[in-house]
Amino acid sequence: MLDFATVLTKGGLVLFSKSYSSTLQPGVSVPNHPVDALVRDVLVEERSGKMAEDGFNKDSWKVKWTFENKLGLIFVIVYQKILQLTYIDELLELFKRAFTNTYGEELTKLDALSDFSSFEEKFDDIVTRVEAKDSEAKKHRKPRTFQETAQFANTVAGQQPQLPAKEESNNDSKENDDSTDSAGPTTPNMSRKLAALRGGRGGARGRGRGGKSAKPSPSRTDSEQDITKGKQKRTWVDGLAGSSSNEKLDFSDTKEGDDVAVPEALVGTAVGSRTEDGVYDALEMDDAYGGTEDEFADILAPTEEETKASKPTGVFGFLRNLTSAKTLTKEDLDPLMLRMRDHLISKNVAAEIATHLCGSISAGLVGEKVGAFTTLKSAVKQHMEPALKRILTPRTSTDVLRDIFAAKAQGRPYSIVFVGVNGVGKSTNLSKVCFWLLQNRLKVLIAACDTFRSGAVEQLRVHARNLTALEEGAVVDLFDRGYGKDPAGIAKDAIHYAKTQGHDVVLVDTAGRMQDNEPLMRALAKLVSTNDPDKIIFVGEALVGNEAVDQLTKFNQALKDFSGLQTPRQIDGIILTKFDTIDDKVGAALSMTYITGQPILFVGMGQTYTDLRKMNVKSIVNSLLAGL
Amino acid sequence: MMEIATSASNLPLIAAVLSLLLLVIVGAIVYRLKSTDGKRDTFLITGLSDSGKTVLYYRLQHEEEVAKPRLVHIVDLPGHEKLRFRFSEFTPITKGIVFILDSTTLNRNIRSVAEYLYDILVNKHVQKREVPILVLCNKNDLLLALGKEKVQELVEGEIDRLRATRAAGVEAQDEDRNGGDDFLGYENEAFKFEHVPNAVTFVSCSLIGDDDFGGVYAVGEFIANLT
Repeated sequence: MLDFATVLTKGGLVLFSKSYSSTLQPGVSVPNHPVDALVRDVLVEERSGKMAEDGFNKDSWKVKWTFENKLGLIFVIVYQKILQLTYIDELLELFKRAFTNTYGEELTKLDALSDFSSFEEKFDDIVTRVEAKDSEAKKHRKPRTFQETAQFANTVAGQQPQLPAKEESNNDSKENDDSTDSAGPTTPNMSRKLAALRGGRGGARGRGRGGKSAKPSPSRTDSEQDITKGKQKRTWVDGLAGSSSNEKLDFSDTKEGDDVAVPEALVGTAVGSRTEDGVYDALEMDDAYGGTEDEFADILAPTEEETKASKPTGVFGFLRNLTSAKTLTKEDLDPLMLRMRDHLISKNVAAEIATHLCGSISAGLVGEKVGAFTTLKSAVKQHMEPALKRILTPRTSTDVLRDIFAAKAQGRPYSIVFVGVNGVGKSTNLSKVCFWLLQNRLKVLIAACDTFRSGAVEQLRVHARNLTALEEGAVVDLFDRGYGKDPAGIAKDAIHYAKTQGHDVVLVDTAGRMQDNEPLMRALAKLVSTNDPDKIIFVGEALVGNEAVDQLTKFNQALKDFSGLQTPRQIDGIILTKFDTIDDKVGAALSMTYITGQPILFVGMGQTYTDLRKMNVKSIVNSLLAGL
Repeated sequence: MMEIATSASNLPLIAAVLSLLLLVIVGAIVYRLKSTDGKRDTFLITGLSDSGKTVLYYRLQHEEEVAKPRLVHIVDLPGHEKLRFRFSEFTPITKGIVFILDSTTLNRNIRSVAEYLYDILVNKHVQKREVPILVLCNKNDLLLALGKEKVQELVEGEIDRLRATRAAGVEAQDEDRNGGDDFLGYENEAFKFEHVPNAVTFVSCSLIGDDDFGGVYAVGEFIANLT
């Protein structure tokens, strides 16, 4: 049912791949290969924190992946999106562990290119077994009985799941007397409902309150017994308590924790118990990996090296523990990541994005080894800096001038549309861009498509007049049709006019609009789809925080939804304005590039025509990480 | 009384002078360590995505026949646009750069290729040390591949246009950078690779095809000549 499975190193070398579909053969280059797309759109852009759980959709495929950071491997599985496969996570985990257990030692050596094709057999084995297990589970899947539903818990019968014996309830009421005096006049029914509402947390106490009533309720002794039972069963393995959830899932009597050191014994008992009772299947469904540990133990047999490494003994072991690299765990990272997230938010990065980013960084760090003298914080910082740089570095060329010359060579005017919400500085930055273009001896036409706000056309006229006066021989004209007309039509006329008059660039100024205003967004989509401009530039102010996400996603969504085209246009670039006002709270730059994946073409740094700058990625990253 | 008072007030002064001296000495040592040129033994493999960087890297690493003079570091850099900037982290210790391009898709990718090569050429360490560059025109076993002469011509033309627009771009954000990158080549002449101080060599090759083209060996020689 899979399409493609592969293991690749973070350096890009494919170690093993297996294809089940005719389109995704290894060695044959496929345009838009899902794994390529995964690397390009998710891993490089640090979006893995967001998508790791529900996978990444590419065309008709769904891609799921997992990291093995110690060895720097990525495991990828591709399958058809319409197949709702539930076992992929389990399969990936098994895939990862089987592969690392088999080849772990070879992978740490650098001098030889190993042949991993022998893994194919093992992989097939895993797939067939996981699939068989899944279909088995499906076969045994029955509709829930009424007793199991949430509704049942609210019924009277549901309140007393295992009706206790009479004498027990007597005990119970006696015992509870001291605690329930303050229960007050609440009716027994009411208190029971409250208990049900409170859920598992207050279960025992709630029931205790009801103890005063005549009706027998599930006894406290009952629950106490439960607790003592749980305590008796707890085993201490290597100074660590086996958690209660583990024990619930422990189906074999002889199992001792999760120790994989004795695989044969585990396999024997586990298989036996499963074949005997039918309950096993139902239990197994609740848990993704609970049963797999022992069932697949033969595949997951650890290599000698691993078992040795896990138990350093003696003086040398102690020394090595003291000085050697330490492997990062999620628990180590979580508090730090929380701090990192707060720090980013304090720098005005949108909260949602800070969370995704930290999740992604954390996913890339878990399992990695850090030197003994590196603090956790510096390790995180070391990862954070290139990640931020990577996000802020443009994916496409930001050389607008080069595009303009290319268009000029084709004999057509290059058109740029400025969009954005009200008052962010569209017209002002349009005039700054215009000044820069004039400096490069280009003929510019400004199209006044803001036919709504009074004074908009006059504002542009003043700019055009100033710009003409500033530069000798500068050609800058204003194309306007007054107020209240259809902006899409004006833009079309303007581009046509520019073509006949020999202008090189058309700058289209649009009316500011809030991202939620549907009629205006429709008008904008129409303007874009009828004119198909070369660049759609979103003008956003650096002052926004969380709003940046909303603005950009909604502008992009509107351009997509209302265009009526097969391949709708999206925002191609961003101008970040009012950058001189924000000091080091430069988070908006990160938020905007992260959402759109588009470059920040210019940064507005002041009020005059020359205050237009190219963004400096390094200084933005430094500002973001300052004071950490 | 006076004497004691003066000597007591001199004490912190002496301490200050001593610590200043220490600081200067330490600073000088650190500076010396940093400026030593001896560690420059790194070779970079650069190029766009899908041009064959990793193939070259692993062939250099694992093939016995390729001339390996002595211990050198070879860095396989990612070709993705967002990761390219990291080449500049290595340029201070770079001895030579191998730039790979896909000769079959050059017509489509010429702008990205030229931009990347331009960024390498204007890098201040690459300029200062005149780091030699070997341009591998890969995939020459395929039918649509361009020869190295044609590749050179195309790239030169594109860099010529590129340097004009780069020079005309708006200033970068931090003001203290004076004037941006240096202008490549000569002002009033079309750009040629001979105009730059770095030795730029073009070689046609096919890294996964037959060894007739000898791409890996050319790289091996390139490395051997520089060490």
